[in-house]
Amino acid sequence: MPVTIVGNNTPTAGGVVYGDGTNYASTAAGSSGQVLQSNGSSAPTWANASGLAAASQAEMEAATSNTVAATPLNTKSHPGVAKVWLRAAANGTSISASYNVTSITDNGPGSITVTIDTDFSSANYVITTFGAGSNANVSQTNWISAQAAGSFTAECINPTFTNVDPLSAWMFACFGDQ
Amino acid sequence: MKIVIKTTDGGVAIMTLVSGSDEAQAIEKWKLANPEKYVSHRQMPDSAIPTDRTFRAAWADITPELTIDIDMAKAAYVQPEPAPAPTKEQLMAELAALTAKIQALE
Repeated sequence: MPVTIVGNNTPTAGGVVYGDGTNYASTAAGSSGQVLQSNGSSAPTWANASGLAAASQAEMEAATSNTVAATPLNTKSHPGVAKVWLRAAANGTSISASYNVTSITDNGPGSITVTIDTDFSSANYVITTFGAGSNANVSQTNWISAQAAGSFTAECINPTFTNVDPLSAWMFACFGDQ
Repeated sequence: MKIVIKTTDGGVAIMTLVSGSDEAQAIEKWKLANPEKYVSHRQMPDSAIPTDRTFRAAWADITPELTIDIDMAKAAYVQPEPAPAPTKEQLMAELAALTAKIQALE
């Protein structure tokens, strides 16, 4: 059975045939990259494809929207993401791996200062720290002796409260608002 | 290259910059995490920093040469960290070795 296109029996190049309830009709050709959009019972039309917009820093920090996208650039603003991390040699004079760090300083035995590239918005942020190494008979504790928005100092002490270098490395991760 | 910071207690802090970072800015941030400890700073080659840290607490920057000096007065008070207590396994091994020596004498 032949299909009758209303008004013109020559198919439109790039057009899509649809039914209007009585006859078959054809859309015009869309533009490259466009997608066909339903208009309910009306004729479909071509529309530009639209994805999720990138979340702003404020939206990432609020962590509540489900209609914007996290991107490689703005993911760092999410409150659950570490803003600074670092693994440094026990003597505090070389960095194995780091993010958002500008320098480390060996202040003396068991004392290190870390400076941050993009500062936190205040000194109210969380620092987790560990001294890497393994020796069942050595007990060491790390603690933060000073903390500013763009830097902090950590100490490593033994059971007699004497500053000592960690067994093999300093490790830090920081969380908070920038 | 290292940045050697002289401190108010007569010691030194050794700063390592991440490549491309601003030295002056890092110094200012170091000061905020070490209040009232800064005296002065200067650059030294990596080779100027001792690898032996036995007398780290006595390191100083006294002479004009680009090298780390040892403050002998402080060094006299540096005590090496005591060796950790031996484990049960280590003691058992020592006991076995002593037992073997005693048996060899019998």
